[in-house]
Amino acid sequence: MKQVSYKLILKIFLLVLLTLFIARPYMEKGLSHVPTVSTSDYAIEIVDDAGYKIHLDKPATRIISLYSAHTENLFALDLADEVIGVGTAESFPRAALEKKAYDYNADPEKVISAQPDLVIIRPFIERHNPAFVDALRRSGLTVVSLYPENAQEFESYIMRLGQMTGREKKAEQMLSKFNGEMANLLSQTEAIDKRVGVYFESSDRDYTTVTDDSMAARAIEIAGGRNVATGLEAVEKGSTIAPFGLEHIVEIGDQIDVFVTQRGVMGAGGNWHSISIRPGFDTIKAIQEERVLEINQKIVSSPTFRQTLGIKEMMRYFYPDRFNDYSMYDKEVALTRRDFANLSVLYAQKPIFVPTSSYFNSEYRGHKFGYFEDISEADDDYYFVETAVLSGYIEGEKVDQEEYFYPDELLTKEDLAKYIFLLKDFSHLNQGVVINDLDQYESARIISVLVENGVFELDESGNFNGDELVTGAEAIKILEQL
Amino acid sequence: MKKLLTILVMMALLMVAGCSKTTLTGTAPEDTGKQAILLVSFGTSYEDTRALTIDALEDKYKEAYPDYEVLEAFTSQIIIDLLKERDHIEIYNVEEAFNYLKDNKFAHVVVQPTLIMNGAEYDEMLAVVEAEKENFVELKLGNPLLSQSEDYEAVVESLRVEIEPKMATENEAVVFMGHGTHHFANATYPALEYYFHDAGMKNVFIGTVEGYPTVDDVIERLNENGITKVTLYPFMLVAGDHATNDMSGDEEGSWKTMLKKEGFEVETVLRGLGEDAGVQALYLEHTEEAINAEMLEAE
Repeated sequence: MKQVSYKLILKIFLLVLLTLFIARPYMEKGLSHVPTVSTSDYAIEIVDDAGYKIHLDKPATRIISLYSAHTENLFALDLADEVIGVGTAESFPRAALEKKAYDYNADPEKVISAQPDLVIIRPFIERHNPAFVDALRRSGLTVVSLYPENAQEFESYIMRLGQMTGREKKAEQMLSKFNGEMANLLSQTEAIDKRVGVYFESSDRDYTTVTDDSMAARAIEIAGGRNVATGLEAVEKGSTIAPFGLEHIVEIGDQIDVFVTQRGVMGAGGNWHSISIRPGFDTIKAIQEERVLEINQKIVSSPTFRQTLGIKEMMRYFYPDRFNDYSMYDKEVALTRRDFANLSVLYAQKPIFVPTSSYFNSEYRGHKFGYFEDISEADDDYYFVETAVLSGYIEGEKVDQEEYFYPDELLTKEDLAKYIFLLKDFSHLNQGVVINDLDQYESARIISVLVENGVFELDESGNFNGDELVTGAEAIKILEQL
Repeated sequence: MKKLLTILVMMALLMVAGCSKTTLTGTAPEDTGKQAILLVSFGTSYEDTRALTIDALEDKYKEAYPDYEVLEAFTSQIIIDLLKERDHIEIYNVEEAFNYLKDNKFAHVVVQPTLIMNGAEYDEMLAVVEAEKENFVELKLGNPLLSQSEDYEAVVESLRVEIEPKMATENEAVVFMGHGTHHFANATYPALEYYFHDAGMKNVFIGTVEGYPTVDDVIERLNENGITKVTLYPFMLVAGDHATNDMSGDEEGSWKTMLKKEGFEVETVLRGLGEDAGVQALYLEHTEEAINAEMLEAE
């Protein structure tokens, strides 16, 4: 009798153990899906993109964001103080780079011990490292998984961020401003009759493009482009990546006026050179006409308010005559360094520089993006100034480890000469032209070549006068004569 | 009940066994006659240049050695991990490549590094190869590109056709951008410059991204020699990240921009050494020498 009882207990015990072990993941997830009888106990309730119902007693004040777009949006909602930790791939805003970084491939205990009241992830993190997310959830942390899969879901995504953090009003304001900007951009392009044909390469691996409902496809449309690869199925459910392939690209080559290549996903993305050397690509119109736009995915496919920046960049590139206009600087007043930064980028038709997270991990020589003390991220000319400096068109100055651009100081003739030499190719003609004041200038060789090439004229005394100021009208006249 | 317990214990044992890696027995390798050439590169995450260089070289090997299985491995785990995570491309590191060769019972293996020099990457690879030699009937090792004096001469001559037209006048120079290393093999770079000069190409200068000579050293040489026009080439197997960004990028820190700011007229050529037929031939020659050489001595 005793023996039978022991066996039975052991059997039941093992069966219960086995059942619990097998059913554990379903039970954990299922419990969170159970609708609550009364929601009045909770001040905040949302459903995240993994299907979990999230309850918060009060707006989160200790947030760890493990995805760069979430971080960027939280900062946009004025939550700089509430964000106590970020992921390892942050690049914007600069203040986010100074927060403690948490790696979802590392020990979850690091996140748990920071005692956040909200951890925001995206589904990719859960797919990539489910044990990490599981550990966070089991420790009792509130983990929210969000990712707007297409352009339509952006608004609901931002509103949920706002709800969880008590920033609904700010979220509404930001969305209203964003929608207004989008409408404004659309109004500038919708009347364009002859639209440029655009092929968008989302990755150079397997030569994929995007689905019609993607943010990138919407950006092309608002920018006035005509996407030449439409009606495609995504590679998998929930993705906006669509397969296309090298042969298909070549087949529709005569329709591709502009080839847009997305860069920045872990260093991926083609560039002008790598695309131009592909077999058969010499038949593609955009390659023949060298119209390849490299664009950082952060401003074209990432769900942030900077999508408008990506659209403006496309507009500049698709229709330079309309949207890359620099005539506003054509005035008889001395050019400020700020205005010259704008003019130099526009004249060169240079796409703006948008850093990736790896940019901030690398050593750099010269200026570091975003580190001017006198040009803030909120400045309208922020990207143009940064791009001009990082392209070497104009220089800033380092004073005691701090960098300054001096936007209101005025441009000199020598500054303009350096820009022109960098931009175009000039031969050293060695004509032996004598420039009397040449030894006063740091860029003597450049000045000498440009004078030999007739870009600049000497005064009656044979001087270059490199310290003279330059008006916008003078600069544009010289540039347009090149 | 006992049956249930037995099943559970067996399941647990099977799970544990499934997690363990294949281990080698201490028996002598069997001569299956299977032959392989393992091409070991640093690697690149740039798909298009990889096609023109590493993959092109692999194709040459497949054509030249139809009786061998030709496979590739990268030494850069960072690139391997990046390609796996980003592009879902599985590329072996050297240890994994050897595991493949052992699991598939290859008996005669030639390892051919497509590295430029006998530097740190080579040392690390050599340590793995040394440890594997008792697992194969024959395990042979080809030399990197620049190993013997003749190699330098061959590379200089192979590049002559490409670069001489870029130095049509005494004011024109060709500058190669090498990677550079903390390893003592960094001396390869200044040595190579000597070989170019001895071959009559006095206006060829070599600089490195991470070693000596630096780009500032190169600028000094250019000024000393009255150079006004420079053509930049990568001295790397592939025209990848360094060539695209550090050499020919439009940003202020690129060599192209730095040289232009110094007043030089600059042209850039994005052509990895792996695209050069002479360089490809030299690697094949090194492999042929390895095949004809004695096997690595077992310790």
